[in-house]
Amino acid sequence: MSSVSRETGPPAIRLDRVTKRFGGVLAVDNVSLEIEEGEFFSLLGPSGCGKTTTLRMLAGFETPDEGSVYLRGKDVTLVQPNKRATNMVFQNYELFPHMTVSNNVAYGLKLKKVPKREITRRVDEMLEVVGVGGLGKRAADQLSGGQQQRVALARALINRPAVLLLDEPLSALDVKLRKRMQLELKSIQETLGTTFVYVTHDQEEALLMSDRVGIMNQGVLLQVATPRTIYEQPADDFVADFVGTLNEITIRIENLDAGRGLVTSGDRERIWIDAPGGMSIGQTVRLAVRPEALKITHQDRWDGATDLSYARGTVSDVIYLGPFTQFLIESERLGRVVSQQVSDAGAAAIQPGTQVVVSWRPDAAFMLAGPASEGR
Amino acid sequence: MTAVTGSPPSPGGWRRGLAKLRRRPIASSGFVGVVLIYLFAPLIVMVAFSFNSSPRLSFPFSGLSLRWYEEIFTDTLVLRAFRRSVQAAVVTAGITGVLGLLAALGILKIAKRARGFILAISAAPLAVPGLLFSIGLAIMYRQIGFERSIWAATLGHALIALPFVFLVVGASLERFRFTLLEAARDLGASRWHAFRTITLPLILPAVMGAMLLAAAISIDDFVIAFFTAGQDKTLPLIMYGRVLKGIDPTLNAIGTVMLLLTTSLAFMAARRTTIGER
Repeated sequence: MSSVSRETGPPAIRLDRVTKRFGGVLAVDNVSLEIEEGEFFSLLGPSGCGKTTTLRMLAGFETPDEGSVYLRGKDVTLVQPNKRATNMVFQNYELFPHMTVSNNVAYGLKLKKVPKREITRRVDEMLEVVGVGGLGKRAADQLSGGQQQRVALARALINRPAVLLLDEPLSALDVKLRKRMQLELKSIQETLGTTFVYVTHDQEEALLMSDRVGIMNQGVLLQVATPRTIYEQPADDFVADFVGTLNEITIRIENLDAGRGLVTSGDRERIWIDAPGGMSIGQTVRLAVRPEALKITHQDRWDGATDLSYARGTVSDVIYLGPFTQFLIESERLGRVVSQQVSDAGAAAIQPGTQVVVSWRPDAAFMLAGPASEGR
Repeated sequence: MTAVTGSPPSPGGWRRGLAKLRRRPIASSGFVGVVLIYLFAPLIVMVAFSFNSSPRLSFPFSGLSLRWYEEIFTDTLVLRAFRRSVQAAVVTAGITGVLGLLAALGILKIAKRARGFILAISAAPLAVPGLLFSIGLAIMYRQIGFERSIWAATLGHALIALPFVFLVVGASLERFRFTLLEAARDLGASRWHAFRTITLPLILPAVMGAMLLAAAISIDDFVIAFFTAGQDKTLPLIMYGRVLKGIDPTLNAIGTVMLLLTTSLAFMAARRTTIGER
């Protein structure tokens, strides 16, 4: 699936303790990171988290105040953008409006003094690859948003960059086109084998496309991991909350049993936690469970499976989302939680006011650090 | 619905058309007509009489002829003045084009607040009466020993036209997307190459428009030339000399030529600076 495991040669990109300030404001805070050749790497975070600044330091538009940037093992910290083997797809594409599509795409090759005939051949080829073959003679400002996006991609890729940098390239497209372009981008990346560094604030996009994701907040790189790890074992509260919705449950450990904590036991409810060492009876912990990991069962049909954690509650609201349905459940033990289920006949049978049993596999829950936050 | 004859024969269709006609505000459109005639009558009279075969400036026309044009185009005095005017206009456009572009580019490097201040002062000369400006210029030339000549006048033209060029080019740079230059740099262009292939072609229409405007200002100028051109009489100065001796039919011909020149320059300038940018 991913080509992360390639061991030969230096990483495509290495950031070594990079810091960038803008007028005293810390935009990027001591970030170190390695991105492998051929990897699809996403920098994910809310706006203003420093992801775009990081990308711009890779491109050479910003110079770090501290730390170094290495491209294929070479220190490029102070190298001008036109001398770097990186190319960028800008958020607003930045196609040259006074040129044809072909001339836009050929811009980089002309600078490299590539023979004319070869330029023509490679431009046509690249336009074909990104799916706008035949549009070469169009003026760049006569294209639709999706076409502009593809041309911007072709203009960058044709230079065969060591690393392609993409700054929220799909954010200006409508939802349907965005979904399609996500898959196409991924497939282009796999075909060409180019290292992609992709900046986005859309967690779904990042998880869908990337080999690995780096999550940033307030200039700090919080976690770098595969999408699955990010989602299932988030490094901290911020990551957990940013990547998808989270149910937070605060509970007191009532019993400890061979590395497993048993919060409470009985006919009405039972909550297991995978307790690492150092836990003690009476301690309060915060547990997080994703909405889709919470199953709900009509109270009358509950058969009391032994290996699950479960608690009782009342459905207070049902939100139909097409393929999925979300249930808001008020539970004495869990507080207010959200459960997301496939919209099938079973889900349809559950109405507001229904008494249900909320259950989950203990390993689908993870522990949160720090004190309980309010208002969740 | 637009034309009564073109609409399908629906019941009452033509009657509605008639009502629409009646509602048209005849009084106000009549007023606009009068104002337009008032504005353009002098020009119309001038152009019309330039084609009159009789030297008498009165109706009715005795016949159409190009004799006045023939006369001015064989008059070496007029021709020399014409050449001087055109030369002054071209040089003015050249000087202001280069200086205005450089100034507009340079000001971008200055902090936003200072920039507003500089823009404000650079526009200030536009508010100074041309007469005062010309007298000041003449005194200054005298002080530094710059002889009165067409060059002295041209420099004066460049001075009054420069703010226009600076402001027009500045406005177009204000709208220029500088991130385009980042894209060019990212693709391997040096700063200079990016300027040459991206910035310049994109703001060139505005620069050209501003230069045409400067040329029109130069051709049109009377006051500065009057005080600084000395013996190098420009077209307006020649006309002034003739007016002093009494209205002469060749004036109409010279005037018509100048009208054609300045309006076509202004028209081209307007096209480039507004419509031309789309």
